[in-house]
Order: sequence, then C-alpha cells, then structure tokens
Amino acid sequence: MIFSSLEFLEFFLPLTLLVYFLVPAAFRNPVLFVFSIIFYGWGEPTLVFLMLVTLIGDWIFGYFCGKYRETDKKKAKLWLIISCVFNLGILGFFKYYNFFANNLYHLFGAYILPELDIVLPIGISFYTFQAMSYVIDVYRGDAEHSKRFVFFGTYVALFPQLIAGPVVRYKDVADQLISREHSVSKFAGGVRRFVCGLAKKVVLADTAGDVWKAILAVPDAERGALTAWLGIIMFSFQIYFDFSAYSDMAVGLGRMIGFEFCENFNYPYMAESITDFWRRWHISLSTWFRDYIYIPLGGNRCKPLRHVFNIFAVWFLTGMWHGADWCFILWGVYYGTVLLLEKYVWGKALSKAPGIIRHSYALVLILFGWFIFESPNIASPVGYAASLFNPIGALDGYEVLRNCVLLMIMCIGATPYPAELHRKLVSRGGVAARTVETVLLILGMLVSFAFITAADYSPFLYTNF
Amino acid sequence: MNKDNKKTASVNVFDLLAVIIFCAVIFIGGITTVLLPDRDFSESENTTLTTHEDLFSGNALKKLFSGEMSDLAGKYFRHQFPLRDKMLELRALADMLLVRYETSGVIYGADGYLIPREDNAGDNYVNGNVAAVNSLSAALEKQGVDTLFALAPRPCDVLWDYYPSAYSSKPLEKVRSLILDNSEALDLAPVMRAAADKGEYVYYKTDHHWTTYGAYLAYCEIMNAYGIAPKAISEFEREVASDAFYGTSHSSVMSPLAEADTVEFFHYKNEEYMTEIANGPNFEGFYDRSFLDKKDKYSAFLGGNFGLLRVTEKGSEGREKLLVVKDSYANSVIPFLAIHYDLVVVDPRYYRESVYALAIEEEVSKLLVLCGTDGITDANTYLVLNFGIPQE
Repeated sequence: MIFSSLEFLEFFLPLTLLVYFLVPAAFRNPVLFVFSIIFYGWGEPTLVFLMLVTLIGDWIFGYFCGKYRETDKKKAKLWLIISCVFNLGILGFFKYYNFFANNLYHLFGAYILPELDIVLPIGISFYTFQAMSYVIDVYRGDAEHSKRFVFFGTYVALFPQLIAGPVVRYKDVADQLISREHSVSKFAGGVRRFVCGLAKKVVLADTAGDVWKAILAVPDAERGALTAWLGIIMFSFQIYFDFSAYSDMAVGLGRMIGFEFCENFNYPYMAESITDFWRRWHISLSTWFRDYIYIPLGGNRCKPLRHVFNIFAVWFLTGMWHGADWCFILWGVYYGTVLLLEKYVWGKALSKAPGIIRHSYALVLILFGWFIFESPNIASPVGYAASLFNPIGALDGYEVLRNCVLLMIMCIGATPYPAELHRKLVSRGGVAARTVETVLLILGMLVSFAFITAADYSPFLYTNF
Repeated sequence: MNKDNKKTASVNVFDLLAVIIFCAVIFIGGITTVLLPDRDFSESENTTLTTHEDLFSGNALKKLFSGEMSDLAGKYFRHQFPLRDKMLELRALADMLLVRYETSGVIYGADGYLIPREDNAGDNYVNGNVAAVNSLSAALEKQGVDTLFALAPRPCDVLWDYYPSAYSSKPLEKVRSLILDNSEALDLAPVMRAAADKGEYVYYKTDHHWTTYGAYLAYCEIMNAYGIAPKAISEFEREVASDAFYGTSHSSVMSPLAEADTVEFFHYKNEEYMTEIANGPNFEGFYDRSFLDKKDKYSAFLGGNFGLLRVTEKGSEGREKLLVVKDSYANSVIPFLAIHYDLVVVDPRYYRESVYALAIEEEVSKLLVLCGTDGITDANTYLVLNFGIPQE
C-alpha cells in the first residue's frame, strides 16, 4: 500500500488511528505491529512470512549479541557475523541473484546459475538495513537488546517508514518504543507535515514524472535542447519531490502516533558541492553507510590510498543498494570519484569560488548523476544525450511554456525559503498566519485528493530499492 | 519534547482545528465511500466501476493471498469516492491554474475547443494498414470497381488556428505524409482546416469527431472526387438533435468550464431510408435517438459501430451500390451518401470476413475507404482487408 492512495487515506489510516488511540497504552505497540504487518502484506501477502523470518532471526541474533558482548567478545562477534550473513543473504538472494546470474551468463556465455522468477519484496532494502542496525547497535553496546519481540518488530515494520525510509536506527527510537508523548499539537504538526508531503508527491513529483515520461517518448531527432534539458530537470525534481515527500509523510505519520524520526533531506539542491549534496540527500542512508561501513573500514583517518579504497567501497555499495543494475553501481562510483576529487584536487579551489559558481557546479554534476541513474529507462541514452545539444525541436517552446509555472513552484519548493517564511510568520503568533496555514492545509488535502483520484495507480519511485 | 503547550490559547485552537479537519476528511471520506450505494458505471469514462461485489465475489481468500484483492480495493476506493467527479474537475482547474495548457494530453484550445495531442502518434501500423487498403483497392479495380480512399483528419490536424501559439503542428504532419505519400488518399484536412480557420463549426469542441456540417464538407469532397455534384447545403433541413453533447475529449479532461456541443441531423427532402444491421436490429432512417439521452450522443448516427450494415432508400430498387469501409468518422457521412447510393457498410474492427468477397458478392460499383488518421496509426485494424484477395 502506498500513502498517496485512497485505500490508505480513507481506510487503512483512519482504522489504524482509531484502534491505536482507543486501546490502552500498553497495547499500542502490538496494534502498530499488527497493522504494519497488514500494511506490508497488502500487495503481496506471502511476503509477510519473509518479513517475519527476518524479524525473528534478528531478534534472536540481537539477544545473543547482547548476552555475550560483555562476557565473551568472540561469541558475540560470531552471532553478529551470523546475523550479517543472514540479512545480506536474504537481501542478496531476492535483490541481486538474477543480476549475478545474468552477469555470469554474459561472462561465460552460458547459464551457470539459472535465472529465477523472483519478485523483489517491497521495501526489503530499507527494513533489512534497519534490522541490521539493531543487531550491530546491540553488539556495539550502543543499545540494549529489546526484551519484547513486539517492540523490536514494531521498530522494523513500523508502517510510516517501512517502504521507503527514512532508515531509522534502533538506538534513536529505542526509548520512544517504550514511552512517547502524544498530544494535540504533536498530532497537528504531524498532519501538516503529512499533507505537505502528500501534496508534494501527487502534485509536484507525479506531474514532473509525467512530463519526463512524455519527453522520453519524443523521438530523439525531434527533441530539441530546451526540451531535453527540461526533461532531465523534471526527472531531478521528480526524484527529489517523490522521495523527500515520502520522508515528509513518514515523519508526519510518525508524529501522529508519537514518534520523532530523523530528517532524511535537507534541501539537497541547495548544495554547493557534491560533498555537501551527500550531507543533504537521503541522510539516513548516508549515515548508515558512514557508521556501519565507512568508519569501521578506517574512514579518512588512514593513508590516502586506503582512504581511496574506503570511499570506493562505500560508494560501490551505495550504488548497488539502489538497485541490481550496473547503472546504479556506475552512479555510485561516479559520486565516489567526484567526492575524492573534491577532497584531494579541487575542493579548496572550489570553496574559494563565488557562491553561484559552486551552486551551478554542484547542480550540473547532480543532473549528470541523475542521467546515469535513470539511464535504464531511457531508450537510447546516447541519443538522448545528443538531443541535449540539438538546437531546435518543434515543440520546445510549447513544452517549456506549459511547464514554466510548475517549474518555478518546484524551484522555490526545493529551497528552504518557504519553510523559513512559514516559521517566521507562525512564531509571531499571528492569528492571520495560522488561518492561512489552516486554509492551505484544507487546499492541500483537496488538491491532493483531486490528483490521486485523477491519476492512475502511481507507485513510489523508491519502493523498488 | 514539545514546549509550545504553554503558548496562547489561539495556537491550540488551530492545532485542534488541523486535527479535526484531517480526521474529518479521512473518516467521513472512508465511511461514505464504504456505506453509500456503489455506482457501477461511469458514463464519462465509459467504463464499469469496481463495486464491493467485485471485491467479495468468488474466492475472496484466494484473491487476498494472490494480491488481487489489493488491486481491486485500490480501484474500489478510487471509483467509489463520493466526490470523484468533483475531484476530477478540481484537477482540471488545477492544470489551468498552473497554466499547463492541457490536461491528460488534451489541449485547451481557443473558443472552448479541446484538442487531443497526437504529436507522438507512432508509425508502427501505418505501412501495414495502408498496404492493405491499397491491395484491396487494386484487386477491386481489376474487377471494374471505382475506388476511393479518403482520410479523415484528427481534430489536431484541423484546428491549427485554435492551438496555443507556442504549439507546433509540425510533428503531426510526419505521420500524415507517411500515409498520404504511400497511397492515393484524398486528404480531407485542407478543406476542414480552411473552414475551421473561417470560424466554421466543423469539429466538435469536446469530441474527436467532425460535426454534421464537417461531415457534409467531407461528403462534398468525396462526391467531387467521384465526379458527381453533391447536393447543395440549402437542400437540407437542419435539426438540432441535442445541444448538450460532451464527447470523448471532455471525458479525458472533465473540465467544469467545458462548453457543450450541438449535434445536428441534416434531412434531405422527405425521402425515407432503412438501416439494416447484419445480425442486429433494423430501423427507419439513420439515427438511434435513444443515444441522445446518453452521454455518447455521437452514437446516435447509425446507432454506433457494427461489423456490417446496409442502408437502402425505401421504395427504390436497384440503385448503384457503394461499399463503405469505415470507422466512426463515416457514421455521420453515411446519411449524405445514402442520397446517391445503396450502401454496404463494413467496419473492419468488427468484420472478420473477406471484404473483397463481400464486394464481389454484392456487385458494388464503388468502394469508399473512409477512416480516421488515428485508426491507421493506433492499431493494425485494416490488415483484415487483405483477407480473401485473389493471389496472382
């Protein structure tokens, strides 16, 4: 089930909230757990079993890691390794098996491993990473083993962040699982955040996606430079508004039921370097890779050559996490390379350049990154790239004109200024500001419902990762 | 955590309001969707809607585990949402407000014209369809049949004057010239465009078909091509059959600001005709007026599309026979052609036998292939015309 669907908004959510707030506090986590499992199994009920296997397995591994971490380091480490093999084994099989089999086929010209008919379980990359962070945090002593399975299960399966993050870490929410505050103002804050995310997703991201799809459908030779650039820009906005909207909705829903999740985005298109971009984009994933892979490998406190290796290892994996396709690996390695170049070659010079240069530099590299990222969906990436320099396309003017208002809204929406303005006005406590905010809330809901009703099924881009 | 609780009462009122509004929308929306009686058909979209009977029919448990239930439930909630039509209208308004020039691929043209975009129409089917029309024509010409292929333009080929100024018709001409260059088709676009440029009402504002007046212009072109003088427009009595027609383009857009179209019937003198549908009902005249009370009012012409039908004039026998191979564009032209000929009308979408054999059997003296450009670009509909043509 996805958030921007009427079955979620008109059925699952009201029912969940009703039951959640009616039962005594002690039953709230079990209620969340059960509803989250239903949420997860909605599209493909059989996948619930896979999730339960992961949950039970990691809960047991966490127990042993916790039990032995003070007394028998070796045993604790053994359990940690078992858990990693277990989690990565499941993830590897469901997500990467066919990729691997196909590569072997291309390498040797014969199927050494047969291709299997595997359905990628939705959200598996997200919840597997969450479950792993639990076992690792317990092993490291950063968190206590969860004595109650339901609490751990609720943490991993919690429906707001189950399918597309943020990748919440166990130590960050362990306390909230035991006790959390519910209040009208917190719920209201959640509502506003959620509706804002919903509108971002269905009005901005989905529309940008439609424009991108339409531009992809134009034959390469007829697509002029203006349209071609518009297309790439639209895809960049689509992926940002789609993904960050999902995080907004997750944070908003979390707040309604008393949770505070970490922020996942910090206006990434305001970045002034690629290093900066990755501090602002999908923060929870970057943090995960930093804390569980990059730093254990030695981070940057080692010899430069080792550092180069560490960076490439992390970015190879980051790329691979996004999907079982060489383009994602290329995309990750591309960013690893740019990050190294910024660190060792032009970072200093860049920091002295004027702001507009730094910003343009980052945006161009980001656009290029998205081009690599999206290349499997482009019929001919080379042909498309050529059209970026094709002086005239018959419909250039029309496509740009009919998207310019939308484009302006998206540009403004990708900056922190509207949120800052909102904060300023509301903090003055004006009734007027609050009234406007309420009107916007109603409008946001209405327009979102209108777009959802009008659109055909439109799955989140990120649910496949 | 939240230290704002001590703030002024007004802040809390707005928080409370936000919670109440949100909960009201999700609870009332959900409850009314489930409890109000289901609608099972949407005329505007011409589709059946998912009802709760669809959800629970058959083996519900099996559906649940196959994931089919979730698809159906998604459709159910979208289809039965009480404000569904209002929501669609709101979406169209939002598109206008965002100056997007179009909704669902339909351009908001000048004077209320809704023009479906076709600039990405592919050419996959064109060669096959055109070759089939050509070979049927060639085979029948050998038998002494006079043949004509007339190409009905799409609204976007006609309403150039009504586009937003930045829009270009250039990509549209590519697929059209592929058709025209590979056949001897009579291109009806120029005459339609010239009339539209003068502000004449040749295409419906909300539908992809031509108006009856547009059909009359097409008829004149066709008769001229046969070398026969068409009847003058003054010889017809014009009847406004409906002034509340919202057609297919409107269905894609659902704009609350759309203007209704007028459907006219042109009557020639007091002559009487019979329409006989093969394996179907017969009726006097050309019109099935029951469609005038429904959404799809264009189907009043001949009662829609049928594989094979015949049109004859009452009381006259042995008139010259014309075989019409057509799609829906021809339905409103048929009444004009019937003034001159007995008609055998074939719609290749629903006719699965040899059209060549039919022409021989019926001893027709003329063949008219009259079809829309989209009919040639969108599917391999006309391949069936190859059927039964004698091989050399």
